[in-house]
Parts: sequence; structure tokens; C-alpha cells
Amino acid sequence: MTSFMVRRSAEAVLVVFLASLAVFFAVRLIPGDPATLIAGDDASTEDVFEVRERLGLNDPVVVQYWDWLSSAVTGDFGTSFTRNQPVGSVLSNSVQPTIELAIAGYILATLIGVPIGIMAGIKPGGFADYFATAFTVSTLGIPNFILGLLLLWVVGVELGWLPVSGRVAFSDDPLQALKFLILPTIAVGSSLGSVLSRFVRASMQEVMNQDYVRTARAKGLKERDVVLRHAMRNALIPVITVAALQVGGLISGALVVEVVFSRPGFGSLLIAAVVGRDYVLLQALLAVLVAIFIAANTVADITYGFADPRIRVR
Amino acid sequence: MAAPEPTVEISLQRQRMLEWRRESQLVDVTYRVIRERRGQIAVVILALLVFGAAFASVLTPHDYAEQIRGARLESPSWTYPLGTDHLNRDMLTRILVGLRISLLVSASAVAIGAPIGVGIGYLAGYSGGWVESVLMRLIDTMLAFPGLLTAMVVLAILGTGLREIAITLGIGAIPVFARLARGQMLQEKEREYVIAARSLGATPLRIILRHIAINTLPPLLVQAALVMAFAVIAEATLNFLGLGASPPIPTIGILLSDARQWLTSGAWWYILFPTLVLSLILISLNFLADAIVEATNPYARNR
Repeated sequence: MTSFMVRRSAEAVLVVFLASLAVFFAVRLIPGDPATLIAGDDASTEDVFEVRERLGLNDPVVVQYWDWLSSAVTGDFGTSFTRNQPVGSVLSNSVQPTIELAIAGYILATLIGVPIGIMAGIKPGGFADYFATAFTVSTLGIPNFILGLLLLWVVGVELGWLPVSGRVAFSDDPLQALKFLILPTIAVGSSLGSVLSRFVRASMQEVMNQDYVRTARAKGLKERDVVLRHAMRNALIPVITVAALQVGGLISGALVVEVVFSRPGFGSLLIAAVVGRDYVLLQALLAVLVAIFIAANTVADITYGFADPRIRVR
Repeated sequence: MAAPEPTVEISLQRQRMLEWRRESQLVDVTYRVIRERRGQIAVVILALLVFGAAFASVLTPHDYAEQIRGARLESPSWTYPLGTDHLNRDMLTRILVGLRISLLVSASAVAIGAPIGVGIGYLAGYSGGWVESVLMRLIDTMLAFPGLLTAMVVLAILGTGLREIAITLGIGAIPVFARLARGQMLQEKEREYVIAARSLGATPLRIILRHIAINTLPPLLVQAALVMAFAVIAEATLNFLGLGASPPIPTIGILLSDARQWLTSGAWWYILFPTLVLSLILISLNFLADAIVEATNPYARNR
């Protein structure tokens, strides 16, 4: 198991490295000379040259990449020129709202998706199955940011039950923070919940036809024990991978929903970076996000190895 | 004595229909799709939406940028069926134009992504060896980045706008089609009919286009419908975030973003109708995909 974990982590480090290359060179493709942007409109040629020299833009691209990577590893991502602040502190200021929303959304998705999927899978064509189908169709028709808008409108504005926009930190006022988090969480979590429920349903349906389930029934176990102790535990193994592969979609969903609810986080930062062509900020954001996705996938693979011993002997 | 003749007539028509279906798989799949309940719903809704989008300028007397004097945030009425917005513009016109943009951008994304992706996938699958390894590693790398994030990076490079969104989403669709097409190619290229064609001296290009492509069409159509649905969402999202068209051009995303500013004004029609139109597109595209899957499912054949 240890060697499996080590091998899998080494692979992940390699992918992160490749992704950082991709991010760095993709961002170089953004048109416009950053030095001219930073120096300002009325800067002289000498000023621009001085800025280029200071940012190391006159060095070969490979040297630039190495400089960026070696300081990025220590947490120094350079200075954002649209905000005149070190990118590291900009990121650490807005990482919290995004992470808390993503985690809350993930928890909600699991709480919705797994039970619905199991109930629908035990009895295809039953009431739970119809409910699952209706749920799926409605999430297919309403993308997460629009669900956010609708919740904002109905629950926030018309009913006035929950605050409409902004965020309160958990460290300041946990109850208030939770109130601000509820609607965005539903918006982020429902579509993932419906994706999960479909996978759990299919997996559960397959497992219920297995021989060991018949054996469990034959030896006189209660149906509840058959489902919970025998079928469910095996049915959920493939779902782990699916759930992890959705982390990318979940976080991109959270970024957009954040904008809907005016939560200060990576979402608004990303848009500001794209619109302002702030390449220093953009490449740091992308690097961090891609690293999170890859980490999630790696953790999923390793968990999968724990859950199913057949995987790690390859 | 004249009575039996119509039956003969009908069975002849049936015969002709069956022959027609046997000759072209596309005809057969279409026939099966419109016999499915979900397929019928999808086709009818999509036809209505396309009709509305295409004839927007004939269907309403207004222009999407026209500001009508004294008609600010009017609720739906006979004059303004879907109400008016905060700048006195007719919502029906704006939604129809937005719908047109939505359909055009997402269809273009599929039109860009599908041929390139399928081409890469077929090439990788047919040639094998190092060509396959290199192409598929590239495709895997593209898949590692989540769709919307990639779209934002490409928009930062290309600049913002509708054409840019279509190109971006098209590029983003390449890996999905490539993976599917490669898998199909690996499966099909060992089949007898391909070996038969090859032994008759058909060139690889002819084998791929005339034999394999036609046989692998239905799953690609399913994928196209799903990719188009994703593109509709992505287009709306990017426009909502302000990375697309600029005012006064109405897209569904921009309408929603405007509506968000006026949620407290009690103008329910402002947010409800754009949402409804978007949901109709998405649900009908997903139903269409389902219907094609069902229509080409070998277990459900012979109906």
C-alpha cells in the first residue's frame, strides 16, 4: 500500500509540473506587453525597458519559467499589477470563501446524491426512482448559477428568509456565516448531487443482482442489512472515483455561484484577472486551482486503493 | 372487390419506408427518434425554438435595442407579451435574439470541436503506435483542465466576445469527441466489413469516411447533443460573467445578469422568461440525446 501511495503521489507531482508549464506558457500567449501596462500610458521607452528588466521579461522564457516556479514553490507569486499587492496575499485573502463553499457544496451533494441513488437503485421504477428522475431532469434544465439566481430571488428577495449577498467569516459569527452560506451551497451542490445519484443508482442496481446479495438474502438477513452492509458498501466504491472527478466541475461551479451571490473569493478574482489581463495574478490562480484538482484526483485514487484491494496490485 | 386495394397500397408504402430505413442509417435513426416520447418532445420544442430564433425580427414589431418611450419595466401584456426591461426594451424581442445567439454560438462550438476532435480520434485509433500515444497524451492534458476554467484562459488570450466564446468552446469540445472517436475506431477497425473493404483495395481515407464513420455516427450524434447543451450553459455563464458580448446585444447570460440587478424591483418576468427559455433548450437537447441512445440501443430494436 505504501509503495502504491508513493507511486501515485510521484505521478501527481509530475502532472502538476506539466500543468504548471502549460499554465505558464498559455498565459504568455495573452496579447499586450505587460511592461507597457505596468509602466503606464505616458511612460518613456527607458521606463518600459526598466520595468522589463525588473520583471525579468528580457530573460529567456525558460529562465523566466524557472524563476517563477522556484519562487512560486515558496509562496511568492510576484506582484499583481492591477492591485499593486503581492499575489500571495491576494490569494490567501480570498481562498477561504471559495474553499468553504466548495466543501459545503460537496457535503450537500453527497447527502443528496447517495441516499437518492441507493433508494432508486434498490427498486428501479419505484417512487424513489421517479423522484430521482425528476430531480435529474430539473438539474439538467437549470445550471447551477441560474439555480443560484432563482434562490436569490425567491428565498432571498421575495421571502426574505436569508441574506441576499456577501459573506461573513465563520470566525466572526458562525450562525450568520451559515446563513450566508446556505443558498450558495444549494446552488453549487444540487447538480453534483444529481450526477452522483445517477452513478450510485446504476452501481446499486448492478450490485443488487450479484450472487453475494442473493447469498445474504438466502441466509435470512433482514433486507436492511442486505442493503446497508453488503450491497451499499460495494456499490459505493466506483462512486469514489466519479465523485473525485467532479471536483473540477464543482470548483468551477463555485467560482460562478460566488459571483451570483457577490461573495469575495476566487471567482471575482479570476474574472478581474481575465478582464484586466493581469497575467501575474491569472497564472497564480490557475496554478493553484489546477493543483487542487490534481490533488483531489490523487486522493481519490489512493482512497480507491484503500477501499478496493484489487486496485493497488497492478 | 375494391376493398383490399388500400391495404396493398399501405403495405407497399410500408415496404418502401422499410427499404429506405434499411438503406440509410441516418433515416433509420431519425425515424426511431421521432417514435420515442422523449424524441418527440425534444424535436417539437427545438423546432419551435429554432423557428422563434430565426424569425425574431418578423415575430415582434420591436428591435432588440429599441427603447420604447414610457414602457419601463412593464409587466407582460398584449402589447409586450414578456414585459419590458429597465431600459424600456421589449423582452420578447431580446429573448428571441438571445436565443438565436445561444443556438448559433453553441452550434458553432460543436461545428468546430466535432470535426477536429473526431479527426484526431480516428487518426489516433486507426494509426496506433507513437502517433496514437502523442495525440492521446495531448488530449488527456486538455481534459485535465476543467471546461469553464480553460474557456476563461482562452478568452484572456483571444479577448472577450461572442465569436471568441464560440472558438473557445469549440476547442474545449475537441478532447471529448477525440476520446469517443478513438474508442470507436479501435473497436470498428477489426470488424469483418473493414477487413473486407481493405482487401478490396479501399484507401484508409475511404474506409474511414465511407465505412467506419457511417457506422459510428449515432454515439457521435449523442455526444454532439450533450456538448451543445454544455456549450449553451457555458455561453450563458461566460456572458453572465461579462466575458462575452457587450451591450446592447442581448444574450441569455446578459439578460440574466441584468435581471439580477432588478430582482428587488418585483419584475418577476425579467428573470423568469430567460431562465425558462434556457431550460427548454437544455432539457430538449438532453432528451434528444436520450432518444438517440434509446433508438440505437440494440436491445430495443425491431420496433
